[in-house]
Amino acid sequence: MTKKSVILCVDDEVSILVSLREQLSDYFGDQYQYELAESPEEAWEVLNELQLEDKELAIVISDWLMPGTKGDEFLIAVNQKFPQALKLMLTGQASEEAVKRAQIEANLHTCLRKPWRIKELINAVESAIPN
Amino acid sequence: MKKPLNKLIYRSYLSSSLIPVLTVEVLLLVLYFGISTFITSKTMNLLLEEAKENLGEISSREAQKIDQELHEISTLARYMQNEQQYFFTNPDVYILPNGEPEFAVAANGVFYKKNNNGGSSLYYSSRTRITAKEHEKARRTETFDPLLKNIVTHNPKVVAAYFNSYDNMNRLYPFIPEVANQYGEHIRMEDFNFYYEADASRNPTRQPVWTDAYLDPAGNGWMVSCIVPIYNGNFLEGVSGIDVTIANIIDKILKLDLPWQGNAFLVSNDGMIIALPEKVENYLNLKELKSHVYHTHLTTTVPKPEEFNLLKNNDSAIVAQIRQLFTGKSSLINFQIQEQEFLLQQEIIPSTQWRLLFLVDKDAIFIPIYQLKTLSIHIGILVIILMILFYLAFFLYLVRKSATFAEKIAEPIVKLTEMTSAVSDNINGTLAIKSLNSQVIEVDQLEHNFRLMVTRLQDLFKSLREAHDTLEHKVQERTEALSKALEHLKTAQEELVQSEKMAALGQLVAGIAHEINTPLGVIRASIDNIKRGLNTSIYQLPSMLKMLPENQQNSLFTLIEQAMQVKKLSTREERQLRKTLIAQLQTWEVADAEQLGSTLINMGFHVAIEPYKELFLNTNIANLLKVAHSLVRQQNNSNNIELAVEKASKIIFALKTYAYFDHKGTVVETDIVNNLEIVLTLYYNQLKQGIELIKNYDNVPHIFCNPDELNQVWVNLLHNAIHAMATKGRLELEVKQEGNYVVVYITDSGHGIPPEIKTRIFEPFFTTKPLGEGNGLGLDIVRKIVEKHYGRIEFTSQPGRTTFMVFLPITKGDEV
Repeated sequence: MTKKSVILCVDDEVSILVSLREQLSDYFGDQYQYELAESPEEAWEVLNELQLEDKELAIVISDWLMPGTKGDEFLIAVNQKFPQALKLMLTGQASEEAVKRAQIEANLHTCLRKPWRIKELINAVESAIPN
Repeated sequence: MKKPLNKLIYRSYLSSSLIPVLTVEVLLLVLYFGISTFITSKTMNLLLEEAKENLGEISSREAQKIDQELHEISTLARYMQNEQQYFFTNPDVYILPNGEPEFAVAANGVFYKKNNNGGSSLYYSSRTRITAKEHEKARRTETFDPLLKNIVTHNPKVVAAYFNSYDNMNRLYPFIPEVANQYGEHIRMEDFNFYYEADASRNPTRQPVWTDAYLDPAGNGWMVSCIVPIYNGNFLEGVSGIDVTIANIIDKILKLDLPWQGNAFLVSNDGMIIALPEKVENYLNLKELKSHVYHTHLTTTVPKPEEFNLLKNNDSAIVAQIRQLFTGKSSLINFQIQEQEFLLQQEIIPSTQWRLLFLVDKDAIFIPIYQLKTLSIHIGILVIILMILFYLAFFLYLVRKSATFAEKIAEPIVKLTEMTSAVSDNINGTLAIKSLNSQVIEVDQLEHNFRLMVTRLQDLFKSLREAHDTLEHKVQERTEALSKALEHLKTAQEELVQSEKMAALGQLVAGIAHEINTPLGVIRASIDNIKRGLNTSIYQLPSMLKMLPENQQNSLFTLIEQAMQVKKLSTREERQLRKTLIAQLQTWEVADAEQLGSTLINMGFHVAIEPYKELFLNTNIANLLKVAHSLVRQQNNSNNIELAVEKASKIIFALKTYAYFDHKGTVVETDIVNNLEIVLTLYYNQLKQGIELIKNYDNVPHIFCNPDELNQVWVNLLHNAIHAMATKGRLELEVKQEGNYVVVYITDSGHGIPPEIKTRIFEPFFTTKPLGEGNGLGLDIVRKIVEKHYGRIEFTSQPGRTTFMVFLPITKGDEV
């Protein structure tokens, strides 16, 4: 198996996840492996698997308002374990405090607002990836 | 001790401003003078050390210079010695440079040269009998004259050059006209120091010798001579000499330009002063001997008087100091004459063994310091005078200022005192309060307070009287006011009810924004995806199909069809399936199995791939799948849009229904379950975060009610339930018919209502929420609405299970 870096999308709305994957894979092709998770809990399962397979986590895109763990808390936890990964938030509504908190504690790169434009998404990802 | 106010102020002014400043100033002055004195003494020491060092250098240099000058004279003496000794060994070699001299014998028997022929004078003592031999010697020694003349004329320091013979002949330039009278008749050369000091016994080495100071028999006053013996073989023919007057030594040799107005003087080895400049004369209280008025002929050496010998001075202190200098190791001493302090530096002149002494007045060294010191004292005195003037002015200013100040404070206080006395006599309100016009804030405040107090007192008395007069009237007024207040309260209550409703709405809107933006995001992304996918499929599909065998074409279309059959999988299931697909493709050794597997999953292909083995072994499978994916995604994205639109419309419908306000309170036939479901839709985003929702609805009859108001009931009860569970737990909703009532049960698994507040939860303004989250009217409003519908509300609560039951009567429209 080749070791591609991984882009992980987390949202409780599957159609959002599917749309995201399509946009990203259209743009970046097989440069990345795309993983979807419907909740932070599932996201952790994916992350653990990735670690076992020794794959690098490049980007995490997370919703804020989700059942259970909120997006900012999730991203802070991810940042502790994967500080080098790029963190993005994609949300229809998030409290300013949560965004600020994520910026400070989770090294949040950008907070995208739903409905988003593909350009915004691609720009956000590209601006943080060296190549 | 009690004192008048102005005196107190005056005292405090003095002690707080004048005295500390004065103390500081005096301290500064003391410091100034102290530092000035300290620096002066330091600098004096420094200057003294520097002067001593410089003096040593200067004196050594000057001594060398003087030594050189004396040495030059000694050299001249050697010339004479050479020339004259040659003459005596070769007496026949002679010249008469100025022609034949004319000799005569004077009345006193002295043989002498009569004519001044431009050469030297000649004298033969009457002690010597003049024979032809002596006459010839006198004549032939004219040979000496050119050298003697040269020595004198070319050397400004030299006054005379001479030759004295053993037989008392004297030849001396410049010419002495009355030489017989000048010397007298019977001079004997051996009696004079300028002869005997160079004789064989005293000067066996025949070197030039310097005499001590003596009085010149030739009439030139006090002088020293550099003398040399003239030998003819071992016979001493005579002694020649060069005379330097003391005056010349002082004026031409000792005239040194010394720093600090210092002076140099010469002393012989035995302490006799040889040459003393005028300034030093004054210090030593001596008058140097230079010229001399001759009353008698000198027949022997006349040395300087004993008082000129420093080692024999009358002042024993001077003698002791000079002795210390002569015998001690140091060439520099601190020298004291009477009370005056000097530095005394000695240098020994090698060619004569004379001591050259430098005398420097210490005061002269310290002159710059003394000038500075005087200046600093002047400045100090000036400062003191200025300070005294300043303090006089300041003191006068303070006296005036304190008087004005005291008056300023005291006057209003005195007035106030008077007025307070007046108040007690006249409380009925006729007392006019005069203005104090004080500029002091506190006094002004005092006046203000006093004025206030008086006014209050007056008012108090007035109102007491009035109250007494019009108590009945007052009661009536109060009653009126109370009823008005009651009305206000009612309005306020209505306003509060509305605000509680708006608060709940505000919280809802934030959540709803998310619920609407999410489907909007899906819609926008899907539209985008459709556009891009269409390009790939339209342009590439036909050419690709051409190259594909027919059976594989069919296979491909079947695959597309299967992918299009919408069958939602969870992401977890998808991942699992992807792994299976990839593993299967790998066993077929298909290139890039991972990418193909991912594409299959992405296009929604969720069934086994065994039937498509042949297709997947096609080398162009990656591109084929890509095109297939583009086709499938058209439908997938359309489906997504449809779902998203449905979702958004549902929320908007709920909002529309919720926001419908029926201000008239019209009663309409309503399905309670539907009514409850609308509110639930609005709370969906809060519920889905961790709350398990259990619905249990019976088929219940419609009732007549005001659905808008009932919305309020459900909003409040659901809101409380979610809050109690902190967004995690189980929410059970039940709608049942019980007798003549439709009953709604709302049960949460939250922390429950503590027994001590169970009786209070329906009280208005009672709340357990933090300040700002709710005004405590929610349940009060709920109860009011339910009671308005002739229903009732009840609850049971224990930790983990709290149920609110809303009983609504089943009625007909006209009954409400």
